[in-house]
Amino acid sequence: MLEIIDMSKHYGDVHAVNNLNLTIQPGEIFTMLGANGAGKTTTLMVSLGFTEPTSGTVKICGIDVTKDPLEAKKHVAYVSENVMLYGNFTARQNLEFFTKLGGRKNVSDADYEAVMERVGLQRDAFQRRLKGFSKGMRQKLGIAIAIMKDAEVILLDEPTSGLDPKSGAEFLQLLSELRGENKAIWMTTHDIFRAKAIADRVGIMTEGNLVKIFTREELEQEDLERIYVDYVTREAEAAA
Amino acid sequence: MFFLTVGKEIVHNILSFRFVVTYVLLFCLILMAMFLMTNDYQRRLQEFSTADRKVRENLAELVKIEDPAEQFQRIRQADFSALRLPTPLSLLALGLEGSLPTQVSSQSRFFVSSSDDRLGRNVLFDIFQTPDFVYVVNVVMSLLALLFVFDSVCGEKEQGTLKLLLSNSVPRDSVLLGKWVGGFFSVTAPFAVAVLGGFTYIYISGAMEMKGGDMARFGLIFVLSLLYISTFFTLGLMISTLTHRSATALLVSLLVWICWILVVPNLAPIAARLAAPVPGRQVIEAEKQAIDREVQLLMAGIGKRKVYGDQEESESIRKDGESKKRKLEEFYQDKMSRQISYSKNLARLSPSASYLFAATRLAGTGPNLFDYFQKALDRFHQGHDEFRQNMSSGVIMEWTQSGPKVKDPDWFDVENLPRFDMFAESLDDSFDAALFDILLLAVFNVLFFMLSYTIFIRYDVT
Repeated sequence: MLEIIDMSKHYGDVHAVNNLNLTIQPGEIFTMLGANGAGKTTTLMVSLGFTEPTSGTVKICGIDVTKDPLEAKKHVAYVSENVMLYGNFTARQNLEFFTKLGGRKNVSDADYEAVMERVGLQRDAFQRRLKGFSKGMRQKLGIAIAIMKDAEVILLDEPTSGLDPKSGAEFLQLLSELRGENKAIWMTTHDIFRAKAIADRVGIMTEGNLVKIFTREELEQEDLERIYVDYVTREAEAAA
Repeated sequence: MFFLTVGKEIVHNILSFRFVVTYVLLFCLILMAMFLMTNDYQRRLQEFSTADRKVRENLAELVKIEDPAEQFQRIRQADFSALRLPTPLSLLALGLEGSLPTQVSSQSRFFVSSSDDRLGRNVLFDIFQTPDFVYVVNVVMSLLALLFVFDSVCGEKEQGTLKLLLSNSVPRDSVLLGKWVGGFFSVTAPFAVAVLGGFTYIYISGAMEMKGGDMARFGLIFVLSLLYISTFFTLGLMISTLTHRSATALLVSLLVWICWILVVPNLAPIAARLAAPVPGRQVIEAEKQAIDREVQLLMAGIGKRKVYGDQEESESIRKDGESKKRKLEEFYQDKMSRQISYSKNLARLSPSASYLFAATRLAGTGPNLFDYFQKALDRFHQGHDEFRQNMSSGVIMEWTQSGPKVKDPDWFDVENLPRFDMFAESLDDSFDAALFDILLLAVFNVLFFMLSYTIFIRYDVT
């Protein structure tokens, strides 16, 4: 479970995140929508312990990320917008390294092969160096690393941006499966349609504030696209 | 976690293109340096043997002369040469070995070199630096170490892998130490292989008679080289943690390398000359001549005043003149020592200078070689002065009515001739003398790593 309690992050006069409160339960996909600079990635960075919040707390499985980042990180997996791995390594070597780094022991070859197949990577890609991988393949490998870590919380920073429709759909299918495995998933995105398709709840963030949260039921009734555009337009006007 | 990151660093480096380039380059350079310097050492050894044979033949000719009076005259006029044996480990660090004469004369205070002198060889050797082992380490290895590590942290940040790496439960100190150990191993492994290859070549070629002491010195120079490479490697790691873009890190690394390898060591003697000026040797000699003239004038004054002179006053004037000249010489030596000391200390701002001082000291070709040579030369000349004084004092020769006669026909023994013996510093003494520079390199290492650690703990990976 991911808990964000009264969390603010300021960079001098810039309020990147303001008093954010949010809880993501196990077995839930929460999608955060927001324009560039809305504070989505900053929230993720605080949740990963890369930067300390100005005030408030972020807890992963009840562990305060600021106070005990190493312990908290045992329970979280991260997939970035552009999964960048070691180019000189093969897919298999990258997967093995990050799996071991994630703390998993006694992982068999069959486990590695199974997860590669699960994320849709062809067998011939196992021994290929990452340098020749497309973005879609790298994203798949990134999610494979997250799966192998078997963390309770998965944080995804715009993971589907730049993916072709087929790869995007496959990616969402994987997330759906992970939800079935009781993972708490937070995903930031600009893609309203994918957010609507996969999320249990969707939040809209503008200027560091979480201004609106839609539940599954509300999403089916409301015109998410119109509401989101309204918020973003208002934000742009306010900035002007 | 630590061993995992070490293993990752090693494999990552080994699979990289720059590892292949480094490996090939180092193997070629170090083997070439060993090969060239071995040949050079063998040539110098050959010249030494040839010259030594000639000196012995000349002495044998003098011994063979049957007429004692003629032998006496010939020995009195003879110019005895002595030779300096090339330093074996000069094939690793040439140092001052190439600048000192290989042959000295008993009569002339001026140095006499063998065919190795400036006019007897290709002058281009003096324009270009000798590519010995120490040169390769000092210049090439320092650069390679920086090129290996400059993007170790900032490059991973730029690439995005650092974020993924640190999103796991891995302590930053383990990551940094793992990067250091893995990276350092990746740089030094090809270096060690190349050195082993070079050592094998020297051993097989039989160019250098490897005695226990020489082996230990060889080993110490190798360990010292690792310490020096580590200094630049740790510096590169620090630069990498200080910057956020690999292009910036590369630029900073190259700037520091240029300053430390090219600027500081070359500017230090010039700066020291400005800070602690020393009058020219010619000025000192002119002043000594002025003192001599003053003494002569005072002596002449006594001659005018007293018909039979004044032995006591003359002696006093002479001693006074000698004392003034000695003080002048001491003043010059003191000033020169101070300038050399300033040069050394200023040059030590760069680890390159510390490495060169320590390596040449261990090889026996450092600045101390000049002192030992000078002292040996002084002893040699003093011995020959005494030898000639004995010949003139009547101990060997007596004057009879029929002419000069040698008292003892067997008076001349080659073994009793003064020798040119240079002090051979023991390994312990060499190590003690090099210890300061070795410790300085260690301090640079610790300092850079501590700074890297402090910066990396707070490094912004976002």
